[in-house]
Amino acid sequence: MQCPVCKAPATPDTKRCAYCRATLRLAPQHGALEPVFPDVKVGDPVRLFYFPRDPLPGGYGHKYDSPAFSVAPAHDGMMLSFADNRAVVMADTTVRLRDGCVKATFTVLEPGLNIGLSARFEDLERTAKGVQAETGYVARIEYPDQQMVLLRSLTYDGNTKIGLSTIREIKNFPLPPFGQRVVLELLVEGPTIIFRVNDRTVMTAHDYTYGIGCFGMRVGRFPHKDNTVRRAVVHDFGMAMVAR
Amino acid sequence: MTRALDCNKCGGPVSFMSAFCPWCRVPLTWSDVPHLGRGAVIVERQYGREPQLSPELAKWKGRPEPGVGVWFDMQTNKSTRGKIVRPIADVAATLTCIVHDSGGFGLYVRAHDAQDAVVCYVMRVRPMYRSYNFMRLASAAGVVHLDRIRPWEAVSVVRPAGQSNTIEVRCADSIFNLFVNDTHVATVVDARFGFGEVHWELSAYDAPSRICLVSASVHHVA
Repeated sequence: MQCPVCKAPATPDTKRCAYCRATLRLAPQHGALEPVFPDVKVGDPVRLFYFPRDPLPGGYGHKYDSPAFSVAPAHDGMMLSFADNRAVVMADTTVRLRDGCVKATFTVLEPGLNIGLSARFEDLERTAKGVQAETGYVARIEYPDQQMVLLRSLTYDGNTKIGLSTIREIKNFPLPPFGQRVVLELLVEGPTIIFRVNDRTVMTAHDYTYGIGCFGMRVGRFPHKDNTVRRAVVHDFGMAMVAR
Repeated sequence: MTRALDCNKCGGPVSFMSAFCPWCRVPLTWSDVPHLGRGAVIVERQYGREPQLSPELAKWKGRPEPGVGVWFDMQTNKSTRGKIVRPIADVAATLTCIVHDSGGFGLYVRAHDAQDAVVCYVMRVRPMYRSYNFMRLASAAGVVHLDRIRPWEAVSVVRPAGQSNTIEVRCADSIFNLFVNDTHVATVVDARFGFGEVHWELSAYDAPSRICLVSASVHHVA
């Protein structure tokens, strides 16, 4: 018998994996161990951004322009336009947390984008040239593939290279159509990670690879042959503590 | 896992410095950093007593010396690394080596591979300089990024080059106890990385070095 989280050896009466610390129980219906997760409650708000009024976190402000990615105010938020393959993390670096909750509302206007939230993003080796490496979690939904993934992310070599490892993945998930608002929420407490889409819990995972960092949003564009601009609007973003 | 990181009321696992138990919601108070002990053995290897080289050691061209260990001739600015145990969160890991010249050795804990790169904590010693350090590290082919948590520091408990030195890292949640030759040298609280493998590492710095891998062990934390 194995721990369902880390595949370490376990016995049917194992209450806690000695390797990954996951709390386990024997599922009566299929006779295998399954992880047990604590309830994570949203607590006091720490930061709230309402983008028709507030600037984007991560240094993008009210307006940002580069050949691959641009930000411009829209009537109900900030318009993010991707002309090329690029992923952007908009993290609020003023607050560093172990446990926290983030929530953001997006409207995706075209296919080929992934929108998501980042948690425990932390830089490694900050030099005069900037941040050299960064680690953290990313939970994202991918249009139009109807896919959602929870990833560990490592960027290195001056943030020019990326290493991703998948924790959980769901395919063929019915996502809201283009033009409709999507509310994403990521709750992280200890090793428990919960991802919610439109107030519905879609993923719960146990992972303790990364333990502390900043929380934010992450939007990216997949590689495409054409150079058509892909757009999404972000309406609001909030960060909260976990509650007792 | 150390009992110091169990909830007193329900026995559930809690994180160091958590305000409350996530399982029973009882408030928690923390007066001091808990001391970590060495628990049951998971892996114990005496490299000088193994009948033949493991494929991993053979790959790095190790030369076994029965009763002592496995010798490696390290070239300038090169290092080798090998896995000791599968991914584990809370662990007490030890590594014993003999270093000639100016080289050093280290112990990676919570080493997590992300495609071509690895991120981890590493404790290193350089016996010639009687020094140890403790760092966060991200490394890939030709690229190394470091955050020094404890920069190089000379301490008398590190024995000089030519003698055997044992380093030990005990970690539970965000607590790290560092030992050199069974003497506690530092306690660090850092929540950055929480889970991963344990590796040994042998390094030559500014000159070639001969290093003998003597033994390694991994224990649960008590």
